[in-house]
Amino acid sequence: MMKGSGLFFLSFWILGTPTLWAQTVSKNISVSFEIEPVTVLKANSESGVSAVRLGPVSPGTQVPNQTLTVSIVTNTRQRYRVYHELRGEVTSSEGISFPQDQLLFMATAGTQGGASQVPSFIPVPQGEISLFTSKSEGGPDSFQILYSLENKKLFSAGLYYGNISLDLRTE
Amino acid sequence: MRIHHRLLIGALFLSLWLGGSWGYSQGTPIQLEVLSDPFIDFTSNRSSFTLNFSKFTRGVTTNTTDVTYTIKANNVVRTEGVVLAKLDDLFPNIALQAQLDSYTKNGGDAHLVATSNGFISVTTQEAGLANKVVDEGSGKILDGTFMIHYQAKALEDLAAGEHIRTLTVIFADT
Repeated sequence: MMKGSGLFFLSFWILGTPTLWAQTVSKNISVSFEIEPVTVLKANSESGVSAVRLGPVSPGTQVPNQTLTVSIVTNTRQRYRVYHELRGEVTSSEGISFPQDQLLFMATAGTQGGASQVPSFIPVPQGEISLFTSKSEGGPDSFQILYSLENKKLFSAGLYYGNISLDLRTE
Repeated sequence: MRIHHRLLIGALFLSLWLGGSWGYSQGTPIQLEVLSDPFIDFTSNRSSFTLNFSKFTRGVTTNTTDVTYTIKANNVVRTEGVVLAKLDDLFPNIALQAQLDSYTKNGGDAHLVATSNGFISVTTQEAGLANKVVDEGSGKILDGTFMIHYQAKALEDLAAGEHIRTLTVIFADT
């Protein structure tokens, strides 16, 4: 019995190769995912661009308000604020400043519970102003910024440009 | 080694402090454009007037009639001859004369002054009655009212009759 077993073992060793036999090899690999915190702020006008175009302005005529839809997409649970910053003056190519008290804006409340910090029309201030605050647990939200012209003064004819920045900061 | 430790502790405190304030920031630029169209609104309080000669001899003048004009314009680049007057046809032996007076500024950054101190003859050629004076800034905005005095002068002895002409007063911004 012992001899027989020894022969069988020997023949296996001579004739057989390891590849002829099914093998299962298992290895444990540690897998971990790191999902980075992402917060994206997008602002689009009704025409789909990141620009606010008011006018043409003529005395005595009502200029339609312009709406900027601001969307915040985030996978964080942090509270955040959106700041509005008018960088420098709104000026024409000739260097004429647009009367700043005539340019107004406001922000609506968020569709997901965020609060407007400018709920009614006020003149757009130069520099930075807090515009919107998310709910305490943060999360995606969307709100609108409405721009309007007082149009009670006679503006010098021309095309005026200004630069706005919307800044999102998490807590 | 001790310096490294201090740096690490400092960085730790800094990160803890930043963690408690509004930290992460993301900016989105937006362009703002405001288009203001060129605009002129020029009106007068009268559409016609009559000047009467009380005498018919050469050199006499008629009564003076005043017409008040209102101007709102936002692209007044022109400085000389901003207000002009002309007749469609000359009166026979009669000179129509005009003089700008008393510009009242309601707004804007410029005002109007008369081109001369006295009356100016109005003919079939455009005659400048007012120049623009810049008060501040671009000086392209006029918002105000002014008066023009009109009178006529006999160049010769006049025969009795009635003469009607069309007087055109022009506001020119460029």
